[in-house]
Amino acid sequence: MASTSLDSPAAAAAARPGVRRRPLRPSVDRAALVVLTALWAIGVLLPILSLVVISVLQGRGLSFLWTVSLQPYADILVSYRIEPVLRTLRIVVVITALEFVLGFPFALWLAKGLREGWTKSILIVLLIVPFFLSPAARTIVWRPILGREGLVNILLTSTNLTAEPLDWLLFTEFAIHLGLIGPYFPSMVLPIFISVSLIDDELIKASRDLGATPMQTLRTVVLPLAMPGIAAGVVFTAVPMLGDNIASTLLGGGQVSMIAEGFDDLIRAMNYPAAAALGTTLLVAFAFLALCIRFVLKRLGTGFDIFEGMKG
Amino acid sequence: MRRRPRHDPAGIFTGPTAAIAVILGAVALVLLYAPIAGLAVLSFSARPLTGIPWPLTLDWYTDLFTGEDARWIGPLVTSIGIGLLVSFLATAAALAIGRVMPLIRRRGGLLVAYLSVLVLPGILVGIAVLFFYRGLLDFRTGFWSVVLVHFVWALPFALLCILIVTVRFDHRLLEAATDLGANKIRQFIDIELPLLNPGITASAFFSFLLSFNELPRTLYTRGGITTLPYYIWTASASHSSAVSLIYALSAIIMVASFVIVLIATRVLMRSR
Repeated sequence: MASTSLDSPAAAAAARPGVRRRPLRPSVDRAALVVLTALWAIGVLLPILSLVVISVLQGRGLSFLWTVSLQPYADILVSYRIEPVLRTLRIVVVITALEFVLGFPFALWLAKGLREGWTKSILIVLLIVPFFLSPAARTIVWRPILGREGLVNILLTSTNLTAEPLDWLLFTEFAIHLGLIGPYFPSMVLPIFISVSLIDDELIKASRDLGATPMQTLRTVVLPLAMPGIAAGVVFTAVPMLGDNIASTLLGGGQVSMIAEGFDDLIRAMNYPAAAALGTTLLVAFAFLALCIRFVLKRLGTGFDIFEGMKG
Repeated sequence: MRRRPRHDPAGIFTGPTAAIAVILGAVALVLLYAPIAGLAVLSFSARPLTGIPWPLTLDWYTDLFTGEDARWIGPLVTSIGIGLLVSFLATAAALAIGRVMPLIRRRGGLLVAYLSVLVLPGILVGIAVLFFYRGLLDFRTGFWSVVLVHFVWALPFALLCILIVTVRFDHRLLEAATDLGANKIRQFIDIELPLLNPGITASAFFSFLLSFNELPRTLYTRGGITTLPYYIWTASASHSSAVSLIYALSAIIMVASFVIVLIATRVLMRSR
């Protein structure tokens, strides 16, 4: 290490044009990286993984007894009804599929059908902004809009479209679906948009010049190359949604509960190992999804180098 | 340089297919922005809980600053304090990590280690921190644990902002500076900082906002701390008259957040 830094690196680079050297940075920088990564692993990743361990312990208040038992899993499967878990999975699958249907053509159009310019910039900003807005504030507004004495029902009854106010609008699965579609749309669109943007226009033109129909180009050129983005979109949409507590609390109103409220119930009942068991199931679901996607991408032979993507 | 992209290079989009794509996207964008616009409109409504925007009134805004109803100021100060601290910590850590990462060979795993927490449900991270630190190690939760979970939330975004500028940083500049006799500190201040500045600025803004608006991770780690999103959450879940005030308060925060995001994205996009 020391000897290379004594060479004149600029001269060496000039002597071999085209060869990108990896300059060896001074060890202080690397030490910082190593220390930070170690802290991150111990302080953040370890606590998250420790849920797996806690989930097989027995709890007494917030302290845990070091005796292994599978009681927590029995608790979430039996006494804590399995219904909210299945409902959550169903809702997540439906919404993720819906986001894909709504988002894929839009992302494709945004990346390859729209000229660079103001419209494109504004649409991209509109997709980025919601990540940084309070999720609770923009969900709570659905209540006065969908409620029994809310805006939609007032409009419906005053125009005599319905005789009675509709009561399936709020505190139902319908409301939860409606409340989830908006917030999770950017998480699906942005990764697909980025991966489609990275496809070279020349490839698409070549496909057309060789006589492919737009549909064939889409299926054989665009879709395989966009696969990493689609995979990222699915993960970024489905996994956080599994633990979403805002839509279900505010729009389910305690009548349609999802996994996130299960955490609340279990913690209120001081059954911490069972809460950890529930968390472990989410972790396993995440790991399973990630492995599936890795497998699919490997079979397709495409990878996604985020660094190359950023050089844009 | 690259030619200006044509309107429709692929011929994938004929008139009707483009229209379908736009309509599908518009449906989702309306579902995304209707509640945001609704919040702004209802904050001026005399009867916000009915969802009817009229008659208009400014009462909620004036009430926000008087007597009993001004209790949100304490949580606001707490949230700004935590936000600034998290913004500084996340940006500093992301800078330390991001400027070395493009140079190392086995960076894929490292990147996964830092970015994987991005997709984990917030509530899960909060519970993990509560159980590990409070349960296993017996630390009291409070200010530090809120800062920790917000840091975990902000760091991946901060790192992405920094990486956008560091992957394009030309390290031959530093080699040239070494040859010209500049020491490491001068190199960092005179060369790296100005060139990486757009990423650093964007990271600072975004980290602040992520912390400032964070709720699910805070729920179980807050100890006795009341952040502004938590205050709004409890107030809006209750059935008191305070709910009407929440619309005005949330509208103000949302407009401010919107402006900050616009500034930060502009800074970041300018760097290209």
